[in-house]
Amino acid sequence: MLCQICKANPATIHIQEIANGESTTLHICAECARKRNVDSGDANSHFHEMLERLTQAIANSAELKLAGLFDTNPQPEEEETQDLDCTVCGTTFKSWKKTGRLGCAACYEQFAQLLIPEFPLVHHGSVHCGKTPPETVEQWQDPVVSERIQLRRELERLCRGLDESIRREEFEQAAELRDRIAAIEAELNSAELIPDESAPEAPAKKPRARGRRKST
Amino acid sequence: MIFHPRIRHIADRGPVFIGQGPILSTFISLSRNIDGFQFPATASSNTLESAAELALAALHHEDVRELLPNMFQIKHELLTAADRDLLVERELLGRSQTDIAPRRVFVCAEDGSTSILLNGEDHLWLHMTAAGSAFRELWDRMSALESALARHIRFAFHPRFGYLTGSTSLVGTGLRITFLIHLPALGLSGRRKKILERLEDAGLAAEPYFPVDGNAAGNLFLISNRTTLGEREEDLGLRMTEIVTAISREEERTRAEMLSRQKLLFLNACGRAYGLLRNSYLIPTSEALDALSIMKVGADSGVFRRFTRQDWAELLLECQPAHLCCRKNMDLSPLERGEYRATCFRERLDGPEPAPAGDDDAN
Repeated sequence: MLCQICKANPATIHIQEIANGESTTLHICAECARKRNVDSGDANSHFHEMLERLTQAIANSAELKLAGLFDTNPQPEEEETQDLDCTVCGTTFKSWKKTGRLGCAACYEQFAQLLIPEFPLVHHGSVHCGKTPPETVEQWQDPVVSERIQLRRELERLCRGLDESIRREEFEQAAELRDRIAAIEAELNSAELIPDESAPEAPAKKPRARGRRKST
Repeated sequence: MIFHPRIRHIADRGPVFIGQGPILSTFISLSRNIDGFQFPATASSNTLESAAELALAALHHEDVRELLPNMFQIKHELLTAADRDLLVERELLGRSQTDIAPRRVFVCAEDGSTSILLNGEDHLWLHMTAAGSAFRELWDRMSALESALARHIRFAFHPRFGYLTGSTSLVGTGLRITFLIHLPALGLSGRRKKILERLEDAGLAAEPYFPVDGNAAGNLFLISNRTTLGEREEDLGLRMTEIVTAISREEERTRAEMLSRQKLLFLNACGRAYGLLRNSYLIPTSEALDALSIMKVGADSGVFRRFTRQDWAELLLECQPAHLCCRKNMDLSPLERGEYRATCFRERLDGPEPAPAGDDDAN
């Protein structure tokens, strides 16, 4: 459809006017609309001006949240930033954006490049200053605790193996794994390193012992 | 019996919320994770169990134990809801840490000065409280405890980001410093809101200690840091101490001004608050807290003959729900609590105190 005024350009603007109860529609091009608005001081001119400015602003500002309303591209801007997930605990960078929580120390290492620009927004920069740990600390000093930690790691490995064997319907191997799991669990449960209420020195006021329940 | 004997024992101890003036107490907490273990939110039960055992083994080392006099430990799941509420009222447990979760262990020094939660949001949460503005003293104690533990546990640490925590709002130092402050006069003068809002510019935040419909019952506020990365612990503590002290001075100045201009109104308010608490038969928490707020200003200004800051601090704890249940040794409904609270106030305030000491020289 051509512009009803200049009859040269295609009509892109359609103005409906209601006067004395009668409705008329004007199909005009952008150029004529601009002229007409300037000439007549049409009430619509402000609206069109505003809409034009808004569209312009949206085009200029990729950050503007309203962009989604006008964007015909189904992929929002945010989707373009690649999501990362931690290879150790599976926490994703996107989930951190939502909750502010990370699952393990490896997350910090793996998301470091993404976290560095984010931290100054909520902290005093992104570089730690203050206390630091001593140079060398032997993590597994206590032989009992150390052994139990190793046993638990073995237990988790066996449990994963058991699930896998069942999935593959290898029942003989599953039975073997089940027995080994039971043996390790029995060994772990034979000692309770976290008693309900241990006090190495007898407390001044000895409370009555409560029912003890072993955790499995 | 709804309270663990150990927790009941803590409830018998004196209060820590006593300060010379508006700053009532300081709490600091330090969050640490153990290197090589996933943080509690994502860790398996076996990992949590290992982390708890490793932490307990370190806590039982001679050099650590001497910093935690007569330490005791209780599995979190063995604490009743009332126990946990009481620990929150005592500031030994955070309000967000009352949920039962597997392999959580609560550790506490018998004197209640230090509490530790294992497998909360992080593997270790070390917490200390002291009366008044006491960052320096608390940090010296906290730093000594952390250093002692660090000799036995390798904490999760990153050369750039510092100590690693489950929530990135604590990464870096892992240190949260909180001041409990009483600001009734600034509230009356209408300037409190603006002053507290401006704290945001300094990376601090203020929140009501007893939030009731968005207001702070008892005019008590918690002011704490929101940033932990990029500032040394001492620098943050001293900066916060300066800011909180400035607010406290402004509160005191406003109080003095009100007292000199409207002494009669002030004495009237103190007397009425005393009368309300002494003569009620049913009193809800928020009403009690608001009356206690006025009584505290009275006690600070020497209005009362016998009612002291110590009395005030004891009443502030005693009138809270879990403390009432503990004292009565049974679960109480809100209505029963209101009744028992009023009874406690009547017993405690029973005595000839209606005439304020300042009355003689009022005119």
